[in-house]
Amino acid sequence: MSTITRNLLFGFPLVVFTALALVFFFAIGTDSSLLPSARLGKPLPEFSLTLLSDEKQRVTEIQLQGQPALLNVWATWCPTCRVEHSALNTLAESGVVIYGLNYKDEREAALNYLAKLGDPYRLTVFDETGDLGLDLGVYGAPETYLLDADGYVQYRHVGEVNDKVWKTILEPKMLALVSKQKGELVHLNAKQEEGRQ
Amino acid sequence: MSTKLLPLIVCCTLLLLSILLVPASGVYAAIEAYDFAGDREKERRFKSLIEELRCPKCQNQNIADSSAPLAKDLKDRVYKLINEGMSDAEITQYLVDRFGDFVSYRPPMNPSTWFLWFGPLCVLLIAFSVIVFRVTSKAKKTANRPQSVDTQRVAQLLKTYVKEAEQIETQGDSKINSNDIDKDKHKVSVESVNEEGK
Repeated sequence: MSTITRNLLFGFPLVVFTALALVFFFAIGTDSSLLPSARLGKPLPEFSLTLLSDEKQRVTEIQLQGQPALLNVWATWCPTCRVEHSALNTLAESGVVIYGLNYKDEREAALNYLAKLGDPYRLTVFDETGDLGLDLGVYGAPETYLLDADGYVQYRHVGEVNDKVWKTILEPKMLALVSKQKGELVHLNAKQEEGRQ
Repeated sequence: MSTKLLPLIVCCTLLLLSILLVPASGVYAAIEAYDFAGDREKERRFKSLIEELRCPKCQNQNIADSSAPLAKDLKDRVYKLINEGMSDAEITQYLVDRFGDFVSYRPPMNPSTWFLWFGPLCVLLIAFSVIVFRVTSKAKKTANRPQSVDTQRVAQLLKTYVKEAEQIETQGDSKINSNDIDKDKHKVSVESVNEEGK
């Protein structure tokens, strides 16, 4: 065996080891339980459910359209939801539109929870069976979906929303959606002007 | 005698009881709440589907094994879809649309899963080529050695050598010098045998 082939043969495991070491090193700290949403770039699933606050009033996906918004999946049985609740209250106070999706919960308990901890939601959809959650691809509360003005899912955050998550991930994406919507409005107005002329 | 046997009887009874009771509890746990009204084919499809679908919440478990509420919801949905007449492929696609490729234990072939599909094959090919390389290089080495030995010729040579040695012994004083020469002679003849062996 020549020295070159010998070196190649002995060098190969070293190369493989180094490659694996690099892969594993960069995987440190990333949570493998976080999955990208299959709904990205798609509209919210169609649904017709009741409002948490009023069991006689129906709500559909159309009522969640109109402006970029957050859709927060929560339940009273979910400890992390309780942790993030004050952050959601703060966001709602600062003018962020947040819709709630009360997921596999009891109406009474959920209403008590909101009465006690504050209600950051513009409206809350009551998904008692979890059917909407399943259509949306929810696999654990809390999850927070970023919706554009047309009700398309643009991003999903799994786990707690806190100040850091809002500042680094959600706010930049939301601002981009808001400016896009404004641009489209300007474009639309210009077209209408043209049409009039 | 009966007092001696008593512990043995007690042990045997306990053993028998445990054998009888353990499978019974297993049977109760295995009862499924999904009734296909005697439709064996639907039941078989349901079982194979829930074994191939992965629970997104409790990763590394299929929804058949998982006791997570989400796994139950998914089983309920699969049950419903089967009864609505959807095919296996349609049901899998239905869940992939909602939870992504992750939900299926049979991942589709696309650039992000190439490593998954072809990685083991690559490793196998590399291992195979290393083995082939090593075996062929070893074969080349051994090819330089004589493959067969002409035993008759060797025996003949030995005979002549012995004869020569005997002659040298009888020759007395001059034996050392001539011996050396004969040894060289012998060497040459052995090498010639090797040459022929090739």
